[in-house]
Amino acid sequence: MPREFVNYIVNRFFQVMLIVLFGFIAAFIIFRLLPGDPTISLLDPRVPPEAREELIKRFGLDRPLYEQFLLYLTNLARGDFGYSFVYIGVPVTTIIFGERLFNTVVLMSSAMLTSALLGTSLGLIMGFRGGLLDKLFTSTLYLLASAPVFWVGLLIQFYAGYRLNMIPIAGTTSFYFEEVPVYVLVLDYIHHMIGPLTVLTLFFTPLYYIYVRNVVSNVRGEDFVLTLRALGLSDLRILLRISRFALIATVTIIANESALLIVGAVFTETIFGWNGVGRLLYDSIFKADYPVLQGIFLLTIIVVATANFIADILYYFLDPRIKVKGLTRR
Amino acid sequence: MSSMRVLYGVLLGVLIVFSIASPMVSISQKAPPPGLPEVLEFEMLSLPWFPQSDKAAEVVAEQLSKIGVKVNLVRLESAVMYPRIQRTFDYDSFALAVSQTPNPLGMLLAFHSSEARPGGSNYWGYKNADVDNLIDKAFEARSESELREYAWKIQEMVSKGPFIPLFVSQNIQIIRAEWKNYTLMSGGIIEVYNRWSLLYMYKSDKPEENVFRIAFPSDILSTNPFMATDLRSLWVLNILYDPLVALDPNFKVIPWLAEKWEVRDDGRTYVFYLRKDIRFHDGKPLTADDVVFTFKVGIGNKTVRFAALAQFVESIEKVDDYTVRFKLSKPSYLFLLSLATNLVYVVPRHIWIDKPIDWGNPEPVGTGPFKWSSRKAGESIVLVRNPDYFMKGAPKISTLVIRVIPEAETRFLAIKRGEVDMERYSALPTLAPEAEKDPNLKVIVTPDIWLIYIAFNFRRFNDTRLFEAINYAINREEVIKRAVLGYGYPVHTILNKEWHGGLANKNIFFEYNPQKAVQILESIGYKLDARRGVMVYVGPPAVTTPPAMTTPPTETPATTPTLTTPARVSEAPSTAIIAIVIAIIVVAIAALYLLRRR
Repeated sequence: MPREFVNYIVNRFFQVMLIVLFGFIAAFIIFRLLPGDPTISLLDPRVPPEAREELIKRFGLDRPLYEQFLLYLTNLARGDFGYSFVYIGVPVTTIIFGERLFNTVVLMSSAMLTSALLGTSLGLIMGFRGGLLDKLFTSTLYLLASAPVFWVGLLIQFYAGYRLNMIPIAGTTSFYFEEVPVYVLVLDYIHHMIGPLTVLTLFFTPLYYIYVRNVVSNVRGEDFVLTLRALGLSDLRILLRISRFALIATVTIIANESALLIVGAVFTETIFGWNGVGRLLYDSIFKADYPVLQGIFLLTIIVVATANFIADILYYFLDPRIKVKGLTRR
Repeated sequence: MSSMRVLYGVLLGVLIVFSIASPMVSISQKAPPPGLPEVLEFEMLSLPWFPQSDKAAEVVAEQLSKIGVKVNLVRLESAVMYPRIQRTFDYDSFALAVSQTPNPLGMLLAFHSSEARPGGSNYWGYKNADVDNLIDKAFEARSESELREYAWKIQEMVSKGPFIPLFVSQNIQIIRAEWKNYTLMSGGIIEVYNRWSLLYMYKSDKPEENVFRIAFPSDILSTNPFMATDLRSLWVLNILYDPLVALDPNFKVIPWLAEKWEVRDDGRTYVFYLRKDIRFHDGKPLTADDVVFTFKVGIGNKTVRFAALAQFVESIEKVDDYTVRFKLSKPSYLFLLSLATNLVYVVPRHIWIDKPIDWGNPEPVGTGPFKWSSRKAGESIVLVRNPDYFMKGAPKISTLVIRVIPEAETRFLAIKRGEVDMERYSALPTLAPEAEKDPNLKVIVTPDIWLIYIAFNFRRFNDTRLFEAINYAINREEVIKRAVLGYGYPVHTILNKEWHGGLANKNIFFEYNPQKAVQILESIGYKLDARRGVMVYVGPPAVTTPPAMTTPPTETPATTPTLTTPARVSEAPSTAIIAIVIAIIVVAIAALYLLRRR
């Protein structure tokens, strides 16, 4: 491994750690500044004040702020994200990690993968060709990007699910208590995922398409492309060479949108009853369940930081300017 | 330059004319006595996610504005609104719904001055010593007829109070047509007070086909029978556990886990004789030890569900393996009713003996008609039939699946498609016509569990005539028609016949009479300021009406209004307006002088 590369990685790693730490501090501050009374959703107002005080003591909401902060950091280090205000006695890690996270990650990663592939390849081809087809695709995809997710989701649910019976209406599975072989469960799961996956792909593809198409149409006017053409390379080969630029764009977008991996599908999950973290986020905001919200927030910070870190590593291979100039301080 | 002078002259002239002409139409206000507002303009808090009360508040605001009472709706989030209503009491008025139970205890208590504290149920702060007395007496009534006597008196007095009930909404239950044999009660066919439908409902003669799927809007919060507060969790607990006594379809108390009971010592002692054939889901029999343990722990810790019983019960003792004696601090018919309606269940002592009171209870074990099978957090709960249930032949449903589907329209689609059989709550009124047309669905309409009301802050406004007037100014029928498309029953008192039967005072009725409302308001001392469109306080009218008053516009400062309908009042300008006018003139002249220097 070249020394510059190692330096580069290590540098980025420390920066990422710092970002995560700042993110944790920000999470702490934000959640203490919110209005409203967090114990409202926990207690019947007819509960006598002594019981309320007891619960406030238990959650440590009456200690001075700096004490709460230290407690907060030590708990995080141990992996204790606290207990939910709403689901009495259930730790936040149990609520978020487990089924919900699995469902969301599976859905979102499939959606991001398909939309990235679709968007990038379409953008590559259309950006290179130009012409009527390009205009057609661009306008359609702009339209899709502007359509509210909620609306598209309801349409698909109604027509594909109810009218045409092609996909189930809601949920992640049809089998709640029946004994069925594993492959049936898996196929059923995928069958239930088709609806939300379609909605999300329709929603995210334009993002990749537009970006990539712009990059490619700018690049195809460059001198080196003219040179390649003069040398007699076929269109396909030129396209392959240009794809490196497209990939940089795609990696950038994925890194930016990586937060969506956790919380990107709030509307979709709500409409299709997909039991995931997006829906949990919405419910928790509604019920003022601060520990769960904080847990989701922290998880998102970690995911975004990691995604950007990986993107930086990939840039090193994709973007030659980084190899030449490097990012190590001299 | 002379043209500029003409311009200045015209400007000055216009200003003088305006300053004389405009202030004529205002009314001279007076400071009202404490407990009445200067201007009948109120801020009303409302929750936008509860469309019944929110839309009702809109309609009420419109109706009140017609008589000169201005209501400004402020939409707030629950986490912001509830503390203001329940703790800091920082509001003028609000619109909300209260869940009904067949037990009037809660509603009556909400008007007792002892509950007018942060965290109490008397959000509106009503304080009346006579009413307090009556409520205390009602709590010691020995029989239903005695309770009725006090309840009627309380309702009469409280109807002139800050709590203005509007209507009880209707529950529109959409269920797949193949299900039969359910029982209709107030609240719907499966509400927590109705144990009967789920026991006897079936759709097929083959037991394995009787799988009942119900859709919930969100997951249940707790499976702890001591601490659960929300009706979703309680719905599930209600069929996993059993109470000592229950309610029949007419809301009368009947034996359940206790097969009979005796009342001794003039109503101070209740002895319950338990059935001997009851087993918990793990096979162990239910005995008096479990009952004594449950109530001692629940009442002793004043847990959420048992707190209301604490005021009645002095001690609980085991007499023998199947007999329990309750000694009450005072005789009360409401105690027995509360045992049936407060959703208090008997838990197994051998499981709970070493657990903290707020234990998560992940796999509940009770005596109820359904047993816990499995759960996927946030998604589904599966319960199965209890084959050893003490009622023979019940339940007929073999498996009960609860699915979480957050969107109302999605739930409806799922029912139409057959993925679920019904949903937990009332469908939106807008979906009812479509459901009626579908032969696969049945629409069942019953009184729902919500009483929609508006309430004023008695700490700020305590003249009861004000509330009486507002009652007459509200057209409840129109509110029902516009807020819930007609799916509601108008209510004029705090208890209603849909839930409380004979305890509701039939004689209290406020017909829609805006003229009477205006009359009452004027007799208090309000007058409509036509320019602002709102009533302002001018002082109570003189006892004798003076003969034909002709007050010329700019002269005598007359302030006595007549009792006839409000007309455009031309009275003398108040001092404030005069001061403003003079200021304007001075400023205008100064500006003109300064501009001339250019």
